Formats: sequence, structure tokens, C-alpha cells
Amino acid sequence: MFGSTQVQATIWFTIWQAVLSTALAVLFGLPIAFVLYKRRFFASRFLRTILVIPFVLPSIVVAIALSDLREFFAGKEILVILIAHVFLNLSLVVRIVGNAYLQLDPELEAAGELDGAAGLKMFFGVTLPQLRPAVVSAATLVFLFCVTSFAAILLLGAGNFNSIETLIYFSLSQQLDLTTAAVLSMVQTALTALAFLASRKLGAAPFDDESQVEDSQAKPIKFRELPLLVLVLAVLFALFVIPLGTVLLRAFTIDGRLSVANFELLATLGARNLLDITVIEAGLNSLRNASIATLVALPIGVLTAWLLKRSRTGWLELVFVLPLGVSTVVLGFGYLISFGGQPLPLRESWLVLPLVQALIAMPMVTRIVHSRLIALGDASSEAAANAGASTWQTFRFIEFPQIKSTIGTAFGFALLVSIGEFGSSALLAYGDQATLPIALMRLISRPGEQNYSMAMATSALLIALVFVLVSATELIRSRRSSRQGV
Amino acid sequence: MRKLIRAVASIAAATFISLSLASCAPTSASQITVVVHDSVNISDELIAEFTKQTGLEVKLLRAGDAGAMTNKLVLTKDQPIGDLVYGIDNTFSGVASANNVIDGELSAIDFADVCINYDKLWFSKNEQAAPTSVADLIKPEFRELTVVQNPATSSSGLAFLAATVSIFGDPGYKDFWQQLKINEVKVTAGWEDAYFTDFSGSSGKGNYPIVLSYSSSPASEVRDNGESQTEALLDGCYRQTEFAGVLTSAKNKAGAQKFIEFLLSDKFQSQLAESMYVYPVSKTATVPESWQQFAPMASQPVGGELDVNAKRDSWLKAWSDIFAG
Repeated sequence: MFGSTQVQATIWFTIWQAVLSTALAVLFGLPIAFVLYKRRFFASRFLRTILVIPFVLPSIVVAIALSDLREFFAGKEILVILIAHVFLNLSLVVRIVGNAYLQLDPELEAAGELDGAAGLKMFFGVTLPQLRPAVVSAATLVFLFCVTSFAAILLLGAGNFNSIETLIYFSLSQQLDLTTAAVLSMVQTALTALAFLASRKLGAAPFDDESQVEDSQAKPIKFRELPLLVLVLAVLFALFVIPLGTVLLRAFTIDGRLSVANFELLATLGARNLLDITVIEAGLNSLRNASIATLVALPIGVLTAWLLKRSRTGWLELVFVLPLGVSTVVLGFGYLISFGGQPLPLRESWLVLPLVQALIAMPMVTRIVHSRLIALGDASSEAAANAGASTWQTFRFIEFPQIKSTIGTAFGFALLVSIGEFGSSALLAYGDQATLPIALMRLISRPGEQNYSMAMATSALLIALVFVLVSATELIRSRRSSRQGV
Repeated sequence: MRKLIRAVASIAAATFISLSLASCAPTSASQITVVVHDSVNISDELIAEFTKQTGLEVKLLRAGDAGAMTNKLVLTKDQPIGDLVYGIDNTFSGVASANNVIDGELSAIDFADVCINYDKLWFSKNEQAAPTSVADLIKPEFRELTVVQNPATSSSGLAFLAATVSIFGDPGYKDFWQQLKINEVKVTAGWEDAYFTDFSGSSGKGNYPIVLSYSSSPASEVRDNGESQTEALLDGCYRQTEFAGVLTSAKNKAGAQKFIEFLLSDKFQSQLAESMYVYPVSKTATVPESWQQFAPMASQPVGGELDVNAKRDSWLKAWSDIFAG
């Protein structure tokens, strides 16, 4: 049984590290979103894309990617945990806020400029109020991910730091201490609810926006913004380019020489047939699961967000946020205990995993889309309704065009959630159903040169897969908006 | 809109009904469910062979790591979630027997020796003698050279902690860990991080030439010259034994017993080294040639006399008092 002082210390640690991680992610995320979405320069699209890669990497690969930073901050593991949380979640802030940036009303900004507002004054007086729902929505998601953070805290903290989720794990899997686990998971749910209530208070629409804003175009960088650009590039370089480069370099290295031989191994079962299927086949499984999970999660998530906006029932909304704060460890135990008696028949079908992943991705889709719907306000849809438009017509012609690119963002994250998902996959995806993260973990949990090389090549494959998928979504999106002549 | 809602609702209802119908499918005597932990690796071919021999269909149910699996079995001991378990080790077997999870006795299936490994290449390059015992690790010449796993988060870490209790006695092990901390031992949460990020003898090419791993690991580090780059210290190893047992709540006890016999057959035992990197318990089973040469088992493992289950909490508390402070 864990003492109450340890439980209290754990709760306190969980809260402050999550608050600090979120604050850092927003602090870095806002200027990065501005530079990458409002300004056009040689690498902006490339940088936008690599930001999301950490989202899908298994924790041990994150640990390897951050190995230089870990060495630099040796003995200060807490800093490494905070940096890792920024590394993992920055893309949420940048993509959600960046997307909102593109939909800012240019007339308001122009009016601000006429009034002589510029730089920071302009940002705080005119821009930030408009971005607020997006910032709050992104911050809420980051906060919840950091509250429930498990692997990053365990691995990067060398097991010396306990968050609510790690203590739940120890009390259930080592001590069989149900009381502590129950108390902690209730606290975690309460924190989720509190975060939600705070986000509702802070994230309400700033004003009713009657104008229909299509994506505005990014402008070339201005001379006086150069210091900002340099700063953003420096952060992205240290936090993303170098760590991901570390992993890629290892994937392309054999005996200290550059080589592509590691990638030829991906078509094999590994040393002494360690794997049941080749890594390539695992990649196809991952792609298939991600497509199904996204196809299920996206329409339901968008519909939920839309219904939530219409119904305006706060409690209903809460129901769709709480799953984000549910302990995955408790879920793992609950799954067996509830379905143990009569095994869930679907467990034998490969379809279960993508459906479970859709459930995991759905609250996130709802969150992202809902915040955009709230930011739109009601004026235009009410006007349409008054003019005799049906609900469907209002959605199709008024609301949908305005949330299209937000749905694009949600689509991307739903794909990533499925591709990177590990907890349920470890339970459900074995044998010929293994996914990329599962194959990777099997390779890296055994000694040997070939296993390690294959694990690194698998990481590179994951990175490449995410890069291609996210670039493709972006390309389709920008094609569409340019075809519409915006 | 209402139509849409009705459509969604009927799809949901249809799914639910088909789920509950399917779950009523009778579990016949021709089926067994084997509860295993995450790192158990049984190939599809072996399972097909068992089915061919016995006519029994096999389902594997993964239940987390060895600790999580054992505790899930305790929590569900009145509901049949499986017919047998494979992979409970000697640090958790006490929990299983104290809670009457197992019907009858546990049978030992495989074992692994948790031992200190070192990078022979590093020591010869640096013209330094390698350690010869666990006690050596606190000597000044091995300062900042060792990486081990946290016993609270890793089963190999716990095995090593038990080994030090056995070697240095209680409270002697506390002094040893105090000294080890002063000697700047590095602690990681899990084996993967220690072996592949910090150990210099693996392909991760880290900075630490001494790592806590297994006696079999050197067989995986054989280089082009036919020599292993690493070697295990066979003194002071803790033996982790994995067991299988029929569950008290099993529906198909006869089938479960047949699967345990299969786990003990030479066919299964002889592929354990390759598939799970562990030694077979059967004397007549074979191990690969590289294992005979580079993966000797410990001649005198330590810690077998300890009641890990009863002592775990107090050891872990003492350990974290030293390392948290």
C-alpha cells in the first residue's frame, strides 16, 4: 500500500509538470505557428511536417532520439521530461493554432494596422483574442496528454519520477493495491473534468464572426521578423531536426559506415525469425488499421462536435472529453475483467484494433473540430436558418466550408493516433497482425546487432510513412484552396 | 438530421447485437486459452503443430508484463479468462500461489540468468582489467562505467537487487548500493534503454562498458571475427525461472494440461533459445551452437533462497531511499 504522502506528492508532481509542459508547448508553439503558417519561406512546409513525427514514435525511440539532450542534461531528468513533453506535443499547438491563424479575419488585422497597432501590441490586442479558442483547445489537449503521460515519465525519468499514471501502474501490476489505483484514477478523471471546465471558461468564442473567412495566404517573411525566424529555426533544429536526424543516421549506419543494408532487412523476419511477419507487412497492417480507424473516427467525431455545438449542453460535452483522461493502465485491467468472463468475440478479429483506435482518436477529433465551430460563432448559421435554409443546408454551405481545413487537421491527427498507438496494439495485435510499433518493440527488446539495426530502420520507416502521409494531406488541402482561387 | 441519427443508432444497435450474439458462442472442449505476458513468443507454426497433434485450438491472451499478468489473474480468479498461464516468474509465483490462482503445481518451463555483462573491446582498448565480481563494481577504477536497471520498473533490475541481497546480506546490500551510487552507477528504467542507449558493447554504442543484462546476451554480440564483443560475469547471477500452470478457474483443464506437456516437449524446448532468448529446462533439449560457445549459464546462481514476494517492498523502499536522496 502506498502511503498518503506518496500519493499526494505524485498528484502534485503530475499537476505541476503538466502545467509547466503545457505552458512551454504554448510558449514555443505560438511563434512557431505564426512563422510556419503565416509566413512563407523555403522550409516552412517541411518543418510543419516533421513537427508531427514524434507523435507516432514509441517511447524507446524517443529516448534514443533525445539521447544527446539527455546526456547534456544528465542528472536533471525532470528537464528532459519537460523537453520530451514539448517534443511530443508541440505539433498539437502548432497545427491547431496555425490552422486558426490562416482563418483570421484579415480585415480585423488591416483595421488594427490602420489604427497603428504593430508587433506585440497587434498580437495581444487583435490577433490573440481571435486565436483564443484554438489556443485553449490545443492547450487542453496537451495538458491532458501530459497528465496521463506514462512512458516518457517512466523512461526518461529512469523510473525515479512518479506521475498518477505510473503510480497506478505500480499499484496495479506490482502491489495489487486496488485502493490506491482507484483513488488515483478518480483524481485523474477529476483533473480531466477541471481542465475541461477551465477550457470552456477560457475558450468561449470571442465574438460572433459574420464574415466567411476562407484560408488566407501566407506572406513572405518581413525584414523586421528575421530575429523571430532565427529563433524559431534554432528551436526546431535543436528539438526536432537533430533528434530525428540521430535516429535516421543510426538507421543508415552499419559498423560506422553509411549503408542502406538495414532497410533490406525490413523484408525479412529478422535474426532467427524473431518476427512473425516482415516489417513491411507490419507497415501494411499499420496503414490498413489507420485508414479504418480514421474513416470511423472522423465522421463520428465531426458529427459529435457539431451536435455538441447545437445542443450547448456542457455535461454532454464533458462526456466526450473524459475518455482523454482515462488511465490506459486501468483500461487494460478493466478490459480483461469486464470481458474476461465471456471473451469479447471481436478479440479474434483483426478489426477490433482499428475500432479501438478509432475510439481513442474520436475525442481528439471532436475537441479539435468543436473548438473551430465555437470560434465561428452563430451569426452566419442563424442568418442562414432565418433565410429558410435547412439544418443540412446550413451545415453543407455555411459551416462545412469554414471548418474544412480544421477537419483536415483532425484527419491528420486521427491517422497519427492510430499509427503510433501502442497500448491496445500490444494487447491485440500479435502474430500476423503486428503493427510497426509492435514489430519495433519486439526487435529492440532483444540483444544483437541485427535486431537493433532493424529497429532503427523500422523507426526510419515510421518517420518516412508519417512524413509522406502528412505531406499528402497538406498538398491536397493547399491544392483545393488554390483551385478555389483563395 | 433525424434520419441520420436513426441510421447511426441502428448501426450501433446492430453492432451491439452481433457482438452479444457472438459472445454466446459456446467455448467447447476443443479450445484452450493460454494467458501469456507480452514477451512470450510462440510461433504460429508451433501452435498449428499442437493443434494438429491434439485437435485443440489455441488462443493466446496477452496480459501485460509478468507482474501485470499475475495480478490480472488474481483479480479474475473467479472468472475463467483462460485455461492456463505461461510466463509467471519466480518473483511473482508467490503472489499466484498465495491467491490460489493455480490448480496444483506450477511447472518450470524455461530460465534466464541475469548477469553483469561487460564490453571486452572497451577494456582491451583502454588497457584496463575487466571486473571479475559484482563486488568489483564499487571499486574506484570502475567509476562511471556501469549502467543498471531500476528494480522498481524492471524485472532484471529487481533480479539484480535480489542478487545483491543474497551476496552481501541484509543490511549489507544497502551499503553496496550506497557505494555503487557514489561510484556513479547509471540507472535506467528498462533493459532496452540501458543495453541499447548506454552500453558500449551493443550496436547503440553508448558510453558505459558494464551493463546489467543476461548470461545469454554475449551470443548476440558475435562479430565478424567470430568472437563475441561482450562477456557475462557468471559470478553473482540471479536465475529467473518462468513457470506454466493450469488456472483454478479453467474450463478445459485437460486441454490446459496437454499444452503444458507440449511446452515441456523437446520440440518446444529446443526452440526456446532462438525464440525467447532463454534456456530450456529439459536436459534433452538443444540450444544453438552460438549459445554453447558464447552463452554459458551461471554455474552457481544466487538468490534462490530468498522469498522475493515477501521482501520485495522493503528492498525497493531501501533502494529508492538511497537513489531518491
